[in-house]
Amino acid sequence: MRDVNDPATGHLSADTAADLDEGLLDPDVAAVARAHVSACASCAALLAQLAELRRDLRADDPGPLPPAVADRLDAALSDSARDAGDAPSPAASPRAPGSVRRSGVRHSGVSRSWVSRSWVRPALSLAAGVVALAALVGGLRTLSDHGVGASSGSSAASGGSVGSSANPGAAAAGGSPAGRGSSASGGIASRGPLTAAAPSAGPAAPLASSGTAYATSEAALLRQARALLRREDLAVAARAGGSRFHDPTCVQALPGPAPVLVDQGRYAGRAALLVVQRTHGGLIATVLPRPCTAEDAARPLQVATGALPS
Amino acid sequence: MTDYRELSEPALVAACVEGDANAFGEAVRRYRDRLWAVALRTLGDPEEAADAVQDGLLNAYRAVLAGRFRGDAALTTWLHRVVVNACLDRVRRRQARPVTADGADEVVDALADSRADADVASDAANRLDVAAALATLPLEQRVAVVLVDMQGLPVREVAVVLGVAEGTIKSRCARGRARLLPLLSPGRREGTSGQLRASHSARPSASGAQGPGPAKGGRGCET
Repeated sequence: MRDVNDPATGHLSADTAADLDEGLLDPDVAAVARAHVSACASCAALLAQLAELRRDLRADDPGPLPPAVADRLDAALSDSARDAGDAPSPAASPRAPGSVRRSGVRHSGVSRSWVSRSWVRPALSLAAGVVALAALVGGLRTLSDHGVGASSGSSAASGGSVGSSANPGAAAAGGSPAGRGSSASGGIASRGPLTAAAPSAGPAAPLASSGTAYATSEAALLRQARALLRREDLAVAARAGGSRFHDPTCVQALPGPAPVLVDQGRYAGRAALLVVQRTHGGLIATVLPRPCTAEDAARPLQVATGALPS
Repeated sequence: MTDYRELSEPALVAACVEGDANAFGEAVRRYRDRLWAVALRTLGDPEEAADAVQDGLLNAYRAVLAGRFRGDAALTTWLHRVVVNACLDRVRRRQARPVTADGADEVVDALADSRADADVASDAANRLDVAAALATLPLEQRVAVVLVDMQGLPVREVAVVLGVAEGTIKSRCARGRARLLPLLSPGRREGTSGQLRASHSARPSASGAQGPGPAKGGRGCET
C-alpha cells in the first residue's frame, strides 16, 4: 500500500490534506489517506481545519464599494470625459442625478439613448460615473469616424484570457489615446527623471507610488521630494499608467504652479499624498491626506519650501 | 420604458450585446460590490483596487459600445474577467515594489475609514489577517482562492474567467489553502499574528513569492 504520509512527520502534509479535501488525489491514494485519517485524530483535525478555513474565507466580507471610492471614481471618469474634449453637459453630469441626456449615438444600426434615471447616486455612483463615459466614448467614436482610430480595444474586455495582454499598461488604461487624455496632455509623462517631466500634472495625472513615509520635518521632507524627483523608476511607473485615482479638485486647489510630482506614501502612519511644485528657483513640497478633497488642500499636513535640486 | 432593474440575466445580456449602455449600467449596479471585493482581495490596496475596477469597467463599457461583447459568457463571468485582468495588469506593473507591513496597515486604515460601524477595530484586525495572509500567496493561487473560496464562484466559471482547466483551478485552490492554513486556521491564529506581520513585511507578494510552508510536525497522533 502506498504511503501518503510525510516521511518527516508520519502524517498527511498540509498539501496532501488539501488535495484530499479538494478531491485531487487518485482514488487509490485517496483511499489510503482516508484510512490514515480515520485512525489519526491529528490528521482528522487538519482536515476539519481546512473545512473551517473554507468557511472562514467564504464569510470574510470586505464590504460594499465605499461611497468615497465611488465618489472619487465619478470625479475621475467625469474628468476623463472633460479632458477628451466632450464633457457631459451639466444636465448629463453624474453630479446631477436624475437628469436625462440623449445623444442619439448610433452603432451597427442600433440607436441608443443615454438615460441616467437608473444611475442614481449614491447607490449607483459608480454606474453614474460610467454614464459620464458615454460622452467620452461618443467623442472617441466621432474621432474614429474621422480616421483617428480611437478605440484600440482590450484583450481584457474582448475576451482575452488572463495575462494575455501584451501591453498591460495600455490595456489597463483603456487602450486609447483619448482614454488617457489627461495623462497624455500633462502630468509626469515625459521621458527621463521626474525633474525633466512636463511641469503640469493634469487633473487626473498619473500618480507615483513610492510608499515613502514622508518626514515631519521640513528639511527632511524637502530632501525626500528632491530624491523622489530624481527617481527614474517612479517616472517609468507613472508613464506606464500609474494610479490616477485621486480627487483632481484636491491638487487643483493648491495655490502655485502645476505639480511636477504627485506621489502616494504615508505621513504619521496615515495614507498621504506628496505634491511637489516647482517655482522659480525653488520647490514646494506639500503633504496632503489621502483620500484628499479641495478642503484638505487648504489644510495640508505639512508644507516645505526650498531650493531646486542642484 | 424599460425598467432595467427588472430585467432577467439573459435579457440583460441580450441588451448588452445590443450595445445598450443602460443595460451595462444595470450590470454594473448588480455586480460592482462583488467586483470591488475581488479587486480588493487580489490587490490588497484600496487605491489599487479602485483603479482596477475603474480600468476593467471602462474596458468592458467600450467593448459593449463597440459590439465586442458577444454574450458568450455570463455577465458576471465576463465582468469578473475584465476586472481580474485589470488587477493582474496592475500587479505586474508593481512587481518590483514589495508590499510591506506598512502597506498592510494602509489596508486596515482605508477599510476603517470606509466603514463606520462599531466593530471596525476588531473587524479591521481580522481583515488584516486575511489580507496579509492572502498577500503571501503566489498570485495564481491568490486569484483562485479569492474567486472560488471567497467569492463563491463555481470552479467551472473560474476556469472560464482565468482561461485555464478546471483541474488547474482546483489545484491552485488546494495549494493556496495549504499555505493559508497555518496563517488563518482558528486554532493557530492567536499565536501567529506577530509572526504573520513579520513574515509579511519581508515578502514580496506580487512576484509569486512563496509563503511559509505548511506546518509540519508538532501534531500528536495516536497511530
